[in-house]
Amino acid sequence: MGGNSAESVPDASADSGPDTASQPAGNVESAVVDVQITGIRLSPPSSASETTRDQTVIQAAPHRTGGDLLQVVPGVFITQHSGQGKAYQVFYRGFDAVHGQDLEFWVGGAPVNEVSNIHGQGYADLHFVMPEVVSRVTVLPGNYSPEQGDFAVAGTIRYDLGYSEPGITGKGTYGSFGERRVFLAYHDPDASAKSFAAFESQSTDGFGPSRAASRTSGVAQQVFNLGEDKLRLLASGYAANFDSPGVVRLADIESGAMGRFDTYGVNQGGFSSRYQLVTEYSGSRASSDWTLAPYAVQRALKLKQNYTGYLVDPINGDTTQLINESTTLGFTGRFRRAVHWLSSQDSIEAGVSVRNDWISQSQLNIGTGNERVLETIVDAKIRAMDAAGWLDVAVSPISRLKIRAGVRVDGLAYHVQDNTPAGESRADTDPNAFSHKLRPPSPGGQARTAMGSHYGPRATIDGLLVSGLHAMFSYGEGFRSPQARSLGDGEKTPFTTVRSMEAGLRFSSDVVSGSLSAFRTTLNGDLVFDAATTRNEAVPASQRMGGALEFTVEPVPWFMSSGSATYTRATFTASDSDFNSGDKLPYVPELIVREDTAFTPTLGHLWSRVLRARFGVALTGMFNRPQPYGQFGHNVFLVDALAQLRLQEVALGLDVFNALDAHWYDSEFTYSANWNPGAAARLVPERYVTVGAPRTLLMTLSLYVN
Amino acid sequence: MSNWSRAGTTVLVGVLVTACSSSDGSSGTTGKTITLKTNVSIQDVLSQPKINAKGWSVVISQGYLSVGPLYYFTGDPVLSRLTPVRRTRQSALAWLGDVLVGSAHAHPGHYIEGAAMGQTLGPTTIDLLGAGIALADGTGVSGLTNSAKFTWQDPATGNLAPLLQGHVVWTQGTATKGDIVIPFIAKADAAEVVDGDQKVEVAGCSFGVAPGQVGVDMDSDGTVTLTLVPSVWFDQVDFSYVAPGTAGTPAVDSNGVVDIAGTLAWEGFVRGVKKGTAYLFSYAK
Repeated sequence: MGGNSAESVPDASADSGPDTASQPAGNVESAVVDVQITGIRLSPPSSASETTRDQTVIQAAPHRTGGDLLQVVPGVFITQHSGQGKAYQVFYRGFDAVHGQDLEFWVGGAPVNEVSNIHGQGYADLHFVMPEVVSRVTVLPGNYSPEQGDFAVAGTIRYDLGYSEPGITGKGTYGSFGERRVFLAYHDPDASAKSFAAFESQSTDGFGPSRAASRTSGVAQQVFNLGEDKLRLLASGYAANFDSPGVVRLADIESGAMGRFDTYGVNQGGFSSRYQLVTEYSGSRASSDWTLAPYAVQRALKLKQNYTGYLVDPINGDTTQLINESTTLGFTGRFRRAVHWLSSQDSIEAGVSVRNDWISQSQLNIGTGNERVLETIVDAKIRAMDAAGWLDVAVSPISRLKIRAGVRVDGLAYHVQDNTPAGESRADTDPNAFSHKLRPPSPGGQARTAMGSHYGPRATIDGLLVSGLHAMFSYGEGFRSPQARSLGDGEKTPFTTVRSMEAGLRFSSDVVSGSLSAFRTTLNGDLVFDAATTRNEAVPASQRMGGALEFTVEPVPWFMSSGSATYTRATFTASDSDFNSGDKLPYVPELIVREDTAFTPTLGHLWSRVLRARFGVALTGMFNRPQPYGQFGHNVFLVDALAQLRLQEVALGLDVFNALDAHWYDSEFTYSANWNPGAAARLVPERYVTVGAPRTLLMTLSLYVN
Repeated sequence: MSNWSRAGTTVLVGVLVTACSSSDGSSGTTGKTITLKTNVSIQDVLSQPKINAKGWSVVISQGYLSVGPLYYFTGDPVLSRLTPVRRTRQSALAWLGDVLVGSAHAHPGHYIEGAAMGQTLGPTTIDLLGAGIALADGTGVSGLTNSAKFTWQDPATGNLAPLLQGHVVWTQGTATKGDIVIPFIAKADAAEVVDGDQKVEVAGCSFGVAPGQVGVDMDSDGTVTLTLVPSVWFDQVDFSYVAPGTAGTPAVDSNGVVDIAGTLAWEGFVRGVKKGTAYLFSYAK
């Protein structure tokens, strides 16, 4: 859910406006000050590993976009295989969520996942978010809360937006490979941190050929106090243009046949834009609180890509152009009321969520080099609707025990106007596209409709063992909606059904907080990226089993350390012609570790101004990345660091990405491709990679006017 | 990266990889990559007379073939009628039924190759009267393989390439029927052996545990053998079209040898060269 249902008591990044602070001063010795505290009651966590990362953690290490912030989520590893403006590929708890098919994303109350996106179901591009304006990242692993809906297969990640630096902020950044960025923001110091506006413009020449990119975005959010209620308005706009180097054959790099950052010279890249409006009206009374948040999102994505070179078409090449444009209108609403059934802490919540998507999408084969349109593979208009309702009850039969149980029902409806020309799909001519056995020829002009519903119970048991230590067990059933074009006329919508469970310990004190958990998730069907079709294709049922440890330590105000380690084993539980039950899912890394450490000492005073320093380092590791055919991909270990000195109104900082200049591979795939049309075709699957960025330095000068 | 960082990372990675790998070092995903040694053998002793379907006794004195990349697939071959099918996972009873009754398989005229299971990419030129040769090692992935694709390399490569004189197949021999003895040259260019899709290849050849058999589970490193059956090329050649005194017979050269190119005899030769039964693939561990 995009709402603030998990908002904590006021802190530096949360709502700390006049409601809690601006009371008239009086005689210190005898004045009685009335303090009115407003806010929204905490929702109990839905699992032991439910985590929130605030700005203390977010700002420990350098981040270039809002998408980079995903790395602070325990268990997440991100890669980018098609240029700086394309959505990250996200790995989380044994899932290759690709661009978002298995993770539900919300930013500022608006959904980010794109239903039936032609490149990938649930495509979620977070590059429109400036990292400076994210006040909190909340992750709900699994699907244990009734608020979690479509795409919450591995979990839900929410960004809350806010900017607490008072006054006007201006930043200019310049660094390696021609990277340039301008950031501008303002925040009224008398207002909530949620009230702010920000702008950025960024461009880079890229660390190698075909890696240039640029983006620009603006966001404004304002919170109005309407008596006992609040009104939050959020508006943002974003656009990006980017080149893509594409994949290269690993053997060509390792043999020295091509330089590490070289490309095959095929013109690839894309364009992305997003505009959104969110209006959230919320209220809180003595025994109830509620929100209503309508939203509107307009998205456009264009990708030009070629993963297979000249394999399928030795003359014209295999370049495809994908276009996906969508308009999303929807709302979320919920009402929670305190009840006294077993204790005074009991509550019941009812929620409603509706989302409508109007989607226009196409896929064309175009000539590699001459951009001539050769063939239409997809040409469709889709209307999709997801309406959901849920109930969530929390009771405490004894003081040390909380039981939360709920149910969510989703109804999905689709209307597809499929104008794809009749005939065999391109995948039928590719020798190693595992989709070739699945998809019949697409009839042209057919209109198809489908409906279905999903019923998902959710439950959490939370036991307080000793002060600050909880034992929790959670269970939930969720779903992933299908690609609309895969549906037959009149078909009852087939969902990917997800069952999750988790058991763990959750602890917190003034100095340290964290959790240790074990989890298991099963799917009745899965999706794996197929380079031959450039889309996600269906594979057999699967399961993930693993464990996660995460912690945050803040022993003193100027030191913070936050770390995590997540191990997952992902295997098939059924077989088909390409995969065997018991075998591991390809591409899903087994071990992901992350550590963010920050030092923020006050060094003293200079010229009557406070001199502060900020030093941060982040370690990221991804190990055991299985490839098809029993192989392993390359492990990744990266170090990012930052250092900043701030003399009140002026700050100078240095960000270093990949400080150890590790030679690493961002993405690795195993499939067939042919990049030398004059030579013998290589039909047997081989390793193809995208090369990770080398050491990158960025210098930033910041000015603060208050 | 500093030496200490590199060392520490190496130790950490080593411990983690050891803890998470399977006992054979595999990542645990389906299948595995395999190395395929590749040999070419010639089934016929071309220097010995062989009578073809037209009643001509054919002896080859010289012959060369340009061999291009070879590919192996999951799809059934074009025609495997009356060919015993042996699938590794097939029950013994089912196999016996196939042997006694025979089966017509797959897709006459429309071959669907399926997934690529292996390839040998190094081209060369073969001496058809030689003992066979070893090609460069190929690569593959484990799994059931049923068919293969033979391709010609054009222009030819290898030490014997000049002997092809710019063609992809070149043979010289003698055809005899009764009192008629015809020294001949039969050859073909790449453009003359294209298939229905205008590709310089023969698709849908059989691939099995032995030449002519279909279906074998390539589950480990092994050896692929391409068995050439040049007698298939000459099986339907009616040399009467180039007999001395026959209208339309090309003139013989100074050695009395007739080049059958352009004649109906030659057309029979080209049809034979493009038959999948002349190229039999097999795999053994």
